Order: sequence, then C-alpha cells, then structure tokens
Amino acid sequence: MSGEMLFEAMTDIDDELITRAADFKPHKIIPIKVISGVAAAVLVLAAGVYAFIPVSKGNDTTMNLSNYAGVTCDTASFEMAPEINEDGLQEMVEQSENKQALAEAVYEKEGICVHIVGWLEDYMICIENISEEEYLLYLIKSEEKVSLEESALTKEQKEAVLKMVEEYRSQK
Amino acid sequence: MEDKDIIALYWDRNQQAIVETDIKYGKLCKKISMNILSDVCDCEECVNDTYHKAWNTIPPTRPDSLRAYLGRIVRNISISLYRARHAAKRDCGFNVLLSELEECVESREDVEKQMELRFLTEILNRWLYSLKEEDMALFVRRYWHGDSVETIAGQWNVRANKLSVKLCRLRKELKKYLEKEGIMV
Repeated sequence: MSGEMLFEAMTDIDDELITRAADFKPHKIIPIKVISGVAAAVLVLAAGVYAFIPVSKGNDTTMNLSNYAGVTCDTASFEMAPEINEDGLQEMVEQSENKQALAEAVYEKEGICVHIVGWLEDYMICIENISEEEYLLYLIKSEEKVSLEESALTKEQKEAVLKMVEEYRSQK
Repeated sequence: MEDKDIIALYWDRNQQAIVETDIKYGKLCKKISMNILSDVCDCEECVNDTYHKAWNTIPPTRPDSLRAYLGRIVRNISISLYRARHAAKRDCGFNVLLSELEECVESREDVEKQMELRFLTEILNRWLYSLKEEDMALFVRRYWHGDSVETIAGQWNVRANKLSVKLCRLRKELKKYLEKEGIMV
C-alpha cells in the first residue's frame, strides 16, 4: 500500500469527522500575570468555575507535579521539577512561562484545561475552562475538591453533569 | 446561506446554487485543490469542475454535509489531475496513451482497488473516532483539508513544532493500527 492510496482513502472518511475537524477550536491557555494568593482567590471566585488541585508538601509535591513532566512539556526548567524543592516549585509556578508549560502538561495528562493562577497554601490555584465532559471527568476524579453548586455552569449544564455522574456511577 | 437552502436551489435547478456555493465554499474548495496541485490555473479548473459535478449530481443526491460533499469532489478531481499531470511529465508517450485508454475500460484491478480503498477508509474512520478530539482534528486538517502545519498552528495558537511532533506520533500510531488490521504497510 502506498501513501498515495492512504491519501485517497482519506477522501471518503465520515462527514462527521470532516465537520468536527473543521469546527474544532482548541482550549486556549492564556498566561496570567503573577498575583498574590488573596487576589488569586478573588479572581478564582470571580471566574466562577474553579478547582483547587491539591498538592501535598515535601517530596510528594515534586513527585506529584513531576508526573506531568515529559508529557508534552519541553521547557527545560520544568523537566527539572523532580529535583526542586517546594519553594523552588512555587517560584517556578509563579513564573508566567513555566505556568504555561505546566498548564499544557496538566491538560495533556488530565484532559483538563487550566489557567494556573498561582499558589495558595498547599493548593495550586487554577481557573478552569472546561467542557461538560471534562468537568465530569474531573468531578469523578476529585469530587471533594470541586463544587458544582458554586461553578459557573448553567442550571441545565449542572443537571446534565449530575445526570452523567449518576449514569457513570450506576455503570460502575 | 444555510446548506439546506443551497441544496434546495440545486433541486430547483436554480443557477444561483452555484453562486451561493462559491460564496460559502469557494475558498475551501480552492484551498483543498491548491494544497494538492500548487497551481492556480489547475486549481481554478478543478473548482469549476467541482461545481459542474455538484450541479449534475444534486439531485438526485441530497448531501448531509455540503462541505464534505464538495470537499470530496474537489479532492478527487484534484488527485486525478495531479496524476494526469505527473504521468504526462514522467513519460510523454506510453503512459499518456495508457491512461487515456484506461478511461474506456473498468479493469479488474480498478474494482479491487476500489474495494481496497473502501476497506481502508473504514479502518481510517475507526481509528480517527478512537483519537482524542484534538488529535483527530489535527490529522484530518492536515491530511483531508491539506492544511499546512504552520496554518493550523497559527489558527490554534500553538507552536508548529509541537504539532509536527504530534503528527509524527499519530502517523506512527496509524501505522501500528493498520498493521493490526492486517494491512501491509
């Protein structure tokens, strides 16, 4: 089989795939200026949809975040994550460029689009810009950390998410 | 204008259908053709032939997606023209004579090839549906629409290099998938 044949076979792929590909808009990860913890919390609450990604202290911190390394992240400093301590990690997160890299890695690994705002106590603060499906995924993974009630989803979206959660649990 | 209204014009045999098609999908058709042929004159010829074919096939066809329908026509016409141009360049004599005569008969090889293509398309569909939305969109944008990596990167606001790496990985995955499905690659 030749590449030409494969190219030709692509011609008749499903309409749905062609339309979805043409309409696809990737998540935008926008670097956010470094702000203080309090301001970040205000911004997070103002944004409505939010999540705290828990990160424990000490070695676990670096281990946890190092899980995100090497996915798509090609920033040298980020690849150094396993070696740096918590302070270093916080510093890294507060650097705009590295936040971008970290956000990209989180998206690749978890399928969650996050804007990493900063650091508050033991939590890395993120503003999420997520689809229902991704929200559901995140909800299932860490439901204690996410408040559906306080999210910016519409009533219909919340109901849809709850329905999906129920279905997911009943299948489990 | 909505697709269903344009299709209705075709069914009414109203020539405004071509005008509306050109307004809505002319750019897409030109882009697909240009990405295959890289020649403005050839591209215009293909797009005109596409409109002509659409006019002759709607009705009886009522496409679900006019974008996909026109895209397929312009893609097929452009591939055929590409082959004709290259055959002519390769050998001005024998190949051209053969390709002209091949139009008169439907050889067994053609039928087999069509079946093989259909089988391959089914596998591609399954594989594409199994991908993450972003990966599927990237692959289809590159290999169906023929968009350059730079164009996609610009529109998605990501680095072209990142997309190139991703495409490389996807091609490797596809190779494995085809092998798993029994396709000799």
